[in-house]
Amino acid sequence: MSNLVLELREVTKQYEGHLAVDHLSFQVKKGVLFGLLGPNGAGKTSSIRMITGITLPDSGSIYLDGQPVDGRLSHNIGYLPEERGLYKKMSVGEHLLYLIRLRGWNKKEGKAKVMEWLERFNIEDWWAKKIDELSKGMQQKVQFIATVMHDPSLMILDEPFSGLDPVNSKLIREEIVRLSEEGCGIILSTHRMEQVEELCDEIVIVNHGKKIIEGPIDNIKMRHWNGEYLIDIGEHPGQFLPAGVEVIQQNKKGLWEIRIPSDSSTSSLLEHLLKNNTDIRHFEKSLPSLNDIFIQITGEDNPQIS
Amino acid sequence: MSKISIIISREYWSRVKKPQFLLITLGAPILLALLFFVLGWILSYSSNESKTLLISDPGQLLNETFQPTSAMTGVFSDKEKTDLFQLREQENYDGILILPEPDSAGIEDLKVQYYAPERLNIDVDAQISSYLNTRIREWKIQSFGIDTKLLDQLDTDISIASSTNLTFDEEEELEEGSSIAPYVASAIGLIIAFLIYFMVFINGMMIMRSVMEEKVSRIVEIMISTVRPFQLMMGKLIGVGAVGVTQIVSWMVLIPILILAISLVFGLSLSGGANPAAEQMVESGAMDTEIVENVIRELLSYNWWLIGISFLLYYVGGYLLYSSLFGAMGAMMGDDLGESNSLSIIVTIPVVLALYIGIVAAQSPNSPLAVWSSMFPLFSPIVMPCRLAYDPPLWQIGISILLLFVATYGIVLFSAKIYRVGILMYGKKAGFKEIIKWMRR
Repeated sequence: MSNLVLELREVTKQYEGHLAVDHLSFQVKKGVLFGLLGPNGAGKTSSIRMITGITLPDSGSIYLDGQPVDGRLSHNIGYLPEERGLYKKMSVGEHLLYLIRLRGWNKKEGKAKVMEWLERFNIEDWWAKKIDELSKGMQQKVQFIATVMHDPSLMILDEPFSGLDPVNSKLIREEIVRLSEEGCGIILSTHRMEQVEELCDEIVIVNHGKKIIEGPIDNIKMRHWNGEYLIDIGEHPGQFLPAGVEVIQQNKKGLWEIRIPSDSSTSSLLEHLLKNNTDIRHFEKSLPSLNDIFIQITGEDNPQIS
Repeated sequence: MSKISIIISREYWSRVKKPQFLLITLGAPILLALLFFVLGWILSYSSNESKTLLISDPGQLLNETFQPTSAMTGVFSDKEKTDLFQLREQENYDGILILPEPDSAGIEDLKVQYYAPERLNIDVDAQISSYLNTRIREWKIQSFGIDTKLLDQLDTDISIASSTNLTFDEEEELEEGSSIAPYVASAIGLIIAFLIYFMVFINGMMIMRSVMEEKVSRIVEIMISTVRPFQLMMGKLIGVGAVGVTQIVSWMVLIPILILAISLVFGLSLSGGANPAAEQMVESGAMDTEIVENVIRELLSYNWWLIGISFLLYYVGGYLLYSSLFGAMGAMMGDDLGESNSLSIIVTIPVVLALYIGIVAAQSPNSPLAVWSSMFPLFSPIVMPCRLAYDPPLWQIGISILLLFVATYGIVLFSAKIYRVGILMYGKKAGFKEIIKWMRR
């Protein structure tokens, strides 16, 4: 069996003359935490709605577990939308049981499964609690359970950490990692780049409905490396560097930011420093942060990244 | 269990299990009965404070008796006007009534003088006038020497015995009770029409509010990746409709029981003969039984199968048609609840219009307005039931129901389309321009 959970091939969607998704292709593998990134209005939600089968693509195709989606709602997807809510008057247990039954589980097995998840989150005494008695953060937990409880092969989490306190944030993050390790395909859509860097293995960045960049995060960072290093040799590095190397500034931690010309290499820089008999305390290839890359490639059109 | 039946079950039980449902289902008939009781009491209320009037009647028109109500009596005196004032002061009478001494029984006007510390009010005025009118009529009959038996014979009860059977049949004799037929028929029609009207209206509003809540609370975002918008909408329509049916059925059981209970309790106190009005009611009981018998005979003559099945079909059709429209309205709304009320008027107008046409149709069921309105799907669920008891031609009922269901099918699909796009556009209100755009797609 193939390792792919999800595959998009040349998916296009148009709304009233505006191209929301433009020939978008990417793949999500089992056990891979996949980041779907892009500025507001880039076409993320439109793509997600097609993946979940809520809407149909105008052209192109989407395969889930090797089967074409074709606008069918699949029980193999767990979708946590960005804008989300629950029936306020229902109790936690009833609500989760209702949702799991709508996803094809029978009453008895569904109940056991819901209980299992409540226990995992140490909230088994919440069964009879009304949703509107819960705080926003507590509701987020219930929503997360609602997304993952039916053992989907693909989970789509849109801003899963918004509104969560650090403790619950950590709990959810650990769950996401655990589910990913168990082989679940996970798409994480967020604006919070530090979370993407921390969690995701691979990303795709879309803007104006088009794919701009794709691949494992480390690869992308390497591709966007512009020759910068962080070094510390105990004094101003200026006189010990080969010709053409630019000293940019000293950062807050006391490390010097330098940039080598594009025809130079790490080994020639190191060689030169060693030859000068410098006391190398710190030497680091300074890869750009995902945030920098994101702003660099989408920023000119959409400077507002929240 | 299919998704739609799971949704129906949630929509149904989440409403029926609420304490409010039990309260309304049990409370409404009690409240209604109480309202009727209080209303009846208020309307029949006349000041029961006892009044004793000093009466000067030189012409002996009243024959020394004055008793307009059980609380109002009179004391007769033949003193002069000035002495009457003194006497009232001394004996503390509530007022003085001075009748003139007419020249002959032929008078057409009678000017009566009334003196009292309190201003004359409608109640007292009506009681005195009506009493005097009756008594002076009696006095006139006596004075003219008219035979009262002859007089009674002047009044004739007219009853129209009617039949729609136009083939001559020598044997046939028309039932007498049919003279109240039109009233019974019109009552049956109006009761059914009002029932459908209230169900459509209350449940339609309920659906609109519930759709809006789902949109505002964003639960719909979670739902749409699990169920189709159409399933969500239909589940809600059917679930809420079933709640309505439950309510009607429980009222159909509860109300007769309550009426029986109330009439038992109050019936006992009536026979106690506490007030003359009640005694009068008991006396006239003989006539009432005759009417009741006629009504029952009349009721039994209807084709209840036809009426029952048509009622069900019109209820289902009308409910689905209007509720789906209300649901679509709810999906169109943004987060502003006030706005929904102003927009819902668009759907409300035809329902209210239908009720008014229905009331007219219950009186003249074969007028062009009634006939055409009972064919028009937006009106027919309320107007046709008003005509049902008058035996409209079967082909008219058939066409009307057919048109209703064709229209309902179309409108449900149309509403589902608006609903689908509406609930996906969270946080935004859909303008009419956008709706038209959606329809074209």
